[in-house]
Formats: sequence, C-alpha cells, structure tokens
Amino acid sequence: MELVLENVTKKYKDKTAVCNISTELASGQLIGLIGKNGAGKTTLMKMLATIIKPTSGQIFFDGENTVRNPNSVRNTIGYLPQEVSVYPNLTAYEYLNYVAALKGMKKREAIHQIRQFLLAFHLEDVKDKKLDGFSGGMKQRIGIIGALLNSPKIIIADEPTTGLDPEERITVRNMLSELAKERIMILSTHIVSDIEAVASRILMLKDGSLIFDNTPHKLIAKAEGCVWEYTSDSVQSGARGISSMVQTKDGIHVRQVSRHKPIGRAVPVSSTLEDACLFALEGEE
Amino acid sequence: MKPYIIYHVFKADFLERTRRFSFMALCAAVMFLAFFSVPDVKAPFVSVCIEPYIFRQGSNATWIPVAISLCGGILFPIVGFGFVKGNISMDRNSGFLYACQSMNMKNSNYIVGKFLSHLLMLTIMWFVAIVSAAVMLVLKFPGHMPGFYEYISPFMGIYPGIVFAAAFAVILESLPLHDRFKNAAGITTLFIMFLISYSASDYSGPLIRIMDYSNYGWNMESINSVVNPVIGHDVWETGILVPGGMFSESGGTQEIFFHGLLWDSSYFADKLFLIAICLILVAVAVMALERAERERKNKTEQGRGQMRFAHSHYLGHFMFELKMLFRDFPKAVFILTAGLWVYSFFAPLQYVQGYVWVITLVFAMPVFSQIGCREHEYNMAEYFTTIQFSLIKQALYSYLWGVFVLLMISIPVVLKLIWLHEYFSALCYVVFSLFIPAAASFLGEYSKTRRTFETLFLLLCFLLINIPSFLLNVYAAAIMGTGMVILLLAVFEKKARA
Repeated sequence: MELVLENVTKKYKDKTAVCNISTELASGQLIGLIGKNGAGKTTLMKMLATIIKPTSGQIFFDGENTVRNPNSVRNTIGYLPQEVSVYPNLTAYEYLNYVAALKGMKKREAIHQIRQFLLAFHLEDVKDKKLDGFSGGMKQRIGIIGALLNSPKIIIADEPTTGLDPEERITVRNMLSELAKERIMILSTHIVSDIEAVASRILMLKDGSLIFDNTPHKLIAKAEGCVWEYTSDSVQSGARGISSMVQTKDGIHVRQVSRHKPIGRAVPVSSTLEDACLFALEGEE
Repeated sequence: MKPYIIYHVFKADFLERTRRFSFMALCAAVMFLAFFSVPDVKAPFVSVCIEPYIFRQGSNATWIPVAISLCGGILFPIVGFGFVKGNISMDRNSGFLYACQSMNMKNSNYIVGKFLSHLLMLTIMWFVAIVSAAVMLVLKFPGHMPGFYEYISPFMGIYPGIVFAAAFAVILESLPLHDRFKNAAGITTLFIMFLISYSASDYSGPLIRIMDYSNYGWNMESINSVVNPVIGHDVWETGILVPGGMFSESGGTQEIFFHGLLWDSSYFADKLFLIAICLILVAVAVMALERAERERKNKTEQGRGQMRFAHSHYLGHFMFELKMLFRDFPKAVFILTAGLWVYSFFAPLQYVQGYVWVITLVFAMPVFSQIGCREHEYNMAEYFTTIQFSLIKQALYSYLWGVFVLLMISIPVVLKLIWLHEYFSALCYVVFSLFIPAAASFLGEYSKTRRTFETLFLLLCFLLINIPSFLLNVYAAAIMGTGMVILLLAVFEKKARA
C-alpha cells in the first residue's frame, strides 16, 4: 500500500496552510508528523482523511486519486480527530455500535472487534455508561477505538495521546505501533517522546512546508554537536533554543541547542530527538 | 449576593451574546415583524384580523401597536427564549462554569447575572419593536400619531411575558436535564401555555390569567371594549398570523379606533404576580443549579468507577437511526403522545384534525427537529465524512424514519378521512408526512441547528390550530410535494459533495 502526495497545497483566504508537499508514505511504518501550532499538521491530516480538498496538487492511494474520488478511499480510512466528538447520551457500546454500523460492518465482526478493543483499552467495565460522564482520556480512547474499527488500511490520528495518563499513553502508542505493521499509520503529536518511542519516520512541518522527511536517527544526527549544557546564575531573557532549565543549588542547569557555543563554559552533549526537533523548528539549521 | 460580581457575570454574558451575528439577525427579524404587523387582508400572510367582514383592517394608526402586541405577545417570548437559552450550558461545556465554581463564586451571583443578561437582550428586542412601530406609524399614517398611552400600553402589556421568558430560560438551564430536551421542553411549554390562554373562553381562572404571558386576555378585553359598542357583541371572528387570501373578499368598511389597553387593576395585579413568579423562578434556579452540578459530578465519578457487564445488542445502521431519533425522547412525553394517538382513533374527526393531531405533532417535534442537524450539533459531521457514504445513508435513513413516525401520527386522521371517502384530504396528510421530514433535513443541514425547524414548525402548528383546512387544498399539496423533492435533492447533493 502506498499513499502518494504530489505538490499538495492548501490555501485559505490570506494564508497558505500547507505549501507544496510531496512525499510517499508506505505501509509498515509509523509516520510521525510534528510541527509547531499552526504549522499545518491538522490541515494536512484533514486532506489525507478526505475531509477537505487541497487547493492544488493530488493525493493517490494505491494509484487511485483520492482528491477527485474521495469515496474510493473512505472505506479504508480510520480517522481520529484532534477533538474527539461523541453523542453524549449514548453509552460507550452504543456509540461504537453506531460507528461500526456506519462503517457497514457485519454484526459478528463488529461485536468481536468492539469487545476486543474495549478490553484492550480498559473500557470493558464502563461500556454501558453514557459518554456524557466520561473523562477526556476515556473519550479519547473511545475515539481511538472508533477509528480502529473495521480494520482500516490507513490510520490518521491527530494528537491521539493528548489527555491520556502516562500508562494510557504508552498503551495507545504501543497499540498504534503494533497496528502499523500492515498499515499506513500517520500520527500527529506535540509529544516528542511518543514519536521517539514508535515512529520509524518523521515528517516535520514548519509554516506549512515540509522541512524534514526521514528517520528519527537522521534528525538526531542533524543536531549532533549543536547541543550544549552549562550552569549559570541567570539566563538571558529571550535566549533561543533552550530545551531545559533546572534550578540547582549551584545555579541554573541549562541545556541549549545552538550551532555556536552559547557561553565559554558550555560543554557539548549528545542530542536527543527533542533537541533535534527544537533545532529544526527554531531555524538554527 | 455581590452586585459587582453580578455586574461582571451579566456584562460578560451580554457582550458575548450580543456580539454574535444571531443577535443582529434577531433584531432585524423584530423590525421585520413590526413592519409586517400592519394588518392587510390582501397580503400573503396576515398578522392580525378582527371582524374583517365589518371593519376595515389596519385602517388607522391605532391598529399598529395592537397588532404588534397580539403577534409579539406570542412570538417575542418564544423566539426570545430560543435565543437567550443555552448560556449556562455554554459555560458548562466550555468549562467556564467549573472555573467560576473553583473561585468560590456563589451560584446566586451567577444566576442573577445570567438572568439580567437575558432580560436586557430581550428588552432590547422589545425596544426595537417599539421603535420600529413608531417608524411604521410615520411611514404609513403620517400626521396621525396615536396618543402616548394608546401607543405604549399594548407594548407594556407584553413586557412581563418577556421577563417570564428570561426567567424561564434560566430555570430550565439550571435543571439537571439534557440540553436537547431542555430546548424542546421550553419551547413546547411556552407554546402550550399560549394555546391554553388563546383557547380559554373564560379568563376568570386566576392561574390562566396570571400565566397568560402573551397578554392575550387583556388585549382582547381591550379590543372588545371598543368593538362591543359598535357591533353589539364581542369579537367573534379573529385571527393571528393567518395565511393571506382567507379574508381577502371580506370587504369590511367600518372604521374602528383602539385606545390601547383598557385600564384594569386586576389585570395589572396579574402582571405583577407574573413578575413575582419570575423572581421565584430565578431563586429556584439558584438552588437547582447547585443540585444539578452535584448530580453531574456524582454521575461522572460513577461513570469512572462502576463495574457493569450488561448484555449489549448490535443494531444495523437503519435500525440504529430509529434508536437515535428516540434516544433523547422523554418516556413521559412518549407515553402522553401515545395516549393522544390512541385517543385520536375514538375522537370526532374535526376535533382530532383541529387539536389532538396538532398537539401530538408539537409533542413529537424533538424527533423531527434533530433530523439533519444532529451530527452538526455534536461536531460529528467531519468525522462521518471520512466514513464512506455514511452521511448520505444517515440522511436517508433518518428521513425515512421521520416519514414513518409522522405517518404513524397521522394514521388516525388518514383512516377517518378514507372512511368518509375524502381521499384527497387523506392524500394531503400523507404528502405532509413526506414533506415535514424533508424540511427538517434541509433546515437542519443548512442551519446546523434545530432551532430554525422548531420555530417554523411551531408556526405551522399554530396555523393548523387556527385553520385545520390549511393543508387540505391542491396548492398546499402541490407545494409540499414539489418542496419535498427539491429539499431532499438539495440535502443529498450537499451530503454527496462532502
């Protein structure tokens, strides 16, 4: 399976949300989409999910043009929106039943999958409770199950781990990683550690343009030699590239990403994915 | 209670609501109502007519405030309620209400602030009507201004109804009920309260008089005090918001001048009682909000902790749409509607056509009003777009179930008409059953809210109560039949484009 983007651009009145993106996404890898707020991640995800059409450019799924004929791909998509919306007066089971029915699933398969996912996401106990009383994390898990029903070939998850507790987050990302074996899995998130744990490929967006498209290791390698640590009494206001500041009894322990040595006593350290993302997004490259 | 906190709650809510386009649209609609209210029997839609075979309708300046008062008495509270309600739910959904509670702000400050905001918004709407009426006087009857009391008293008479709508919105918002149910319950209650006042022949019952928020009773008594000396009896033939053409051949020539509200201390006392009831409603709302929030929190906690392993069934999409239509429908209303439906088989046809069927329609309104807009109201439309043909199937199945429900409601009337060999009339009811769900789909899809349909549907029900034969003519059937096709095509075209 292959999803091909050719010069995809989306313009709103006075803003270009996504600018001329071309890439090929194949199954068997979890693709992490990262970028600042307003970088165009959600717009790109919505175009891939056939919710909005690009202003120009084409998207092909296994040779089929999904811009011209969105219905051809819709039975293969599992979409998890950034904000999971549900019918609050339905129980968890009824809601998933409804989604399964909308997807045209057969009764036996639907019941089997719903039960399996409810167990996997620890929601079996509350399946007969109305969604109105669910916490944000629980609703998020219901949304993920909705996206996974009917075994979609492409899973598009817009910030799926937001609002989940650490244990749930690990469960969700491991499950997504597992599912990525036979599917095209695109995961957008602000949480770099989630990407680091599961993504085999990173797409990085900045101001609507694709500024990086490769493996996490390549991204980390780009920041090698540009990460520094030092201890200081104070940090200059407006200093860029600071990835951490820890107050210690000796002063403030600073970790900074910069092409040049920020101060004389700074020592180079090995970079992490978070440093590399910061390095790329802060425009120091 | 702290006045400065009340002031800030009031100010924030007032600014938030009045800066929306819908508030401007509401004021524009009120202006339109004022212009449209000048009675004209030859117009396509007549606001008010009073003994049209005797009196020349809308012949002088004193008709304008009386006509606006009669129409606005019902429309202002219902439409105003529809506009102002929802602000506590808005705070609850956005989390602002919980932020307020974490600041240890008393519910009384919050509720009173919201009530004052409602009241001011509706007062502005009422004031726009007064000003628009004055403009209409100048345009239509230059140099013939009525006296100040004649002009202002009909407007003053409907103001307590506006206070009632503001208080009613607050109490309904505070109750631990589902948001969708609150909306339908509020509008239906106001409508039925008006119908009771409208159809009550004797206004001596104290409760009916006090709860006559539309001021229909006092208005009619004032009109009768002018009409009676001229024709020797009270008004027999009257209509509010009736279709044009009904009285176009009436040709009444006699001139009549109204004198505003006839001063009556007992009616005045009723209005004071109504305002006192409004204040009690606000006080009850304070207590109700406290309880509602407690129950909501308990429910959330239970939802997190409780273990249940009930057996769950699986429904296909077609059957699930029926379940969705009735999911929020209160059991008590369902039983009441079913009772009315059974009663329809045994009641005389004229009574069923004129009252029982229409009241059943009003009760069933929440079923139809969600068609087309449910996925928009819950922000599900975007998600469903990603599921192949789901939006189209959803629209089609909801429409079919809507038709089925409406046909079931109309079955007693249809069978009675067939029994009497009135086949065309029976067909009109069938066409009506096909048209209404199509209109609901269209209005829901394009307005993305159920309010538009509910407002128009209630207006239609009001017409059906006034003139049950309104449906039973070739033009109505042709318009409904053609409209159904056009509206459905528009809906499916939009769904297919998504």
